[in-house]
Amino acid sequence: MEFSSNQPIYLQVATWLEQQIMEGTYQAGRKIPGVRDLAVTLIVSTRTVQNAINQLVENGLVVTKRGQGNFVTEDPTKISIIKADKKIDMTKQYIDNVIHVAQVNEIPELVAHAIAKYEETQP
Amino acid sequence: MLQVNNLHYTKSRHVILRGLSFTIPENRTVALLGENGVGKTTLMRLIAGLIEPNPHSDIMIDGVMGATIKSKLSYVSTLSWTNNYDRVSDVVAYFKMGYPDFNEDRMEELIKFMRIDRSRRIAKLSTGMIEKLLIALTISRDTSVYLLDEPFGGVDVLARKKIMQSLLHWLPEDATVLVSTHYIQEIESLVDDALILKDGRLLAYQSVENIRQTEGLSLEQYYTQLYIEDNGGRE
Repeated sequence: MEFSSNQPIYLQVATWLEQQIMEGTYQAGRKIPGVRDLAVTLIVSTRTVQNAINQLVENGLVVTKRGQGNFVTEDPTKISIIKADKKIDMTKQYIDNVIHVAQVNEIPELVAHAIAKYEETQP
Repeated sequence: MLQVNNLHYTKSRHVILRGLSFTIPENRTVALLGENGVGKTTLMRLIAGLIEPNPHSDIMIDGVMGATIKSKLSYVSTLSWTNNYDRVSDVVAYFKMGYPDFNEDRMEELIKFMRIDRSRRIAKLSTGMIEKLLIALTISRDTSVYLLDEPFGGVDVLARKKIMQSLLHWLPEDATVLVSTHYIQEIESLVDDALILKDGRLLAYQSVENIRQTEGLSLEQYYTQLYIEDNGGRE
């Protein structure tokens, strides 16, 4: 896995894990690989993987079952909330990038364009 | 836990280390960084008890100091002590005999994972294979502290990946690991902290995530910046 230099690595791993869940690689209610296995696959420290998983536990996407490991939430609304959040984030990011060159009357069009662009990136 | 206190080392009137102090808790992997000749290998050899520090220098592992420290750490920096006709299997046998904490099963798994040919003569091994064997031997012992001196030196990218994966997979969870390297970018995601040496001094001891979070820098950027700042702005 390649990491960008300006963001904590655990957040980048958290984003990667989220992506796996969104794309269905790790399915709702199913167990995700163990911390050490993920560390070996991604070549990051187990502490980093654990921090990333803690993030997902915090936002409800992952549930830790004692002695059993980590599972993707069975609650589909949690997943759709994260998806919606991502949509808003990416749309905002796009608008931030273009807003300073846009005319006021173009803004609704830009928002629509940003959403369409986001939809394109989704499987 | 590895504690180093006021560590001084002078060799033929050259000051190599001037008062290093740091503590690495258990369950932590630390990158030891610094330009060539800064004393990284010397520091490892001092910790391993292969050379003597100046008086009033303290090195402790799990609260123990002195000769017994050697049983609490694993450090294999060379195979030059082997005989010309020794094969990989002979070296493994030496370790089994020499170290009660040698974990044979782990060694077997590592030999398989790294694809080391146990019937090969040590003298015929490539640089990459030697590094792999050194790592396998080092981490096959069950100790508190592991010292890895430039484990990626002269090793191609695929071998580096294998070595990194073995460290992540087989190092005991509560281990204290000190690994010196020039491959800062590659090791960054693997280590918890960085210990940076310059001119025989400790320039910084920082957690990698902390560097990213508070400075917004990668480890390599941070390292370069510290060195330049310490040089008074010159590269």
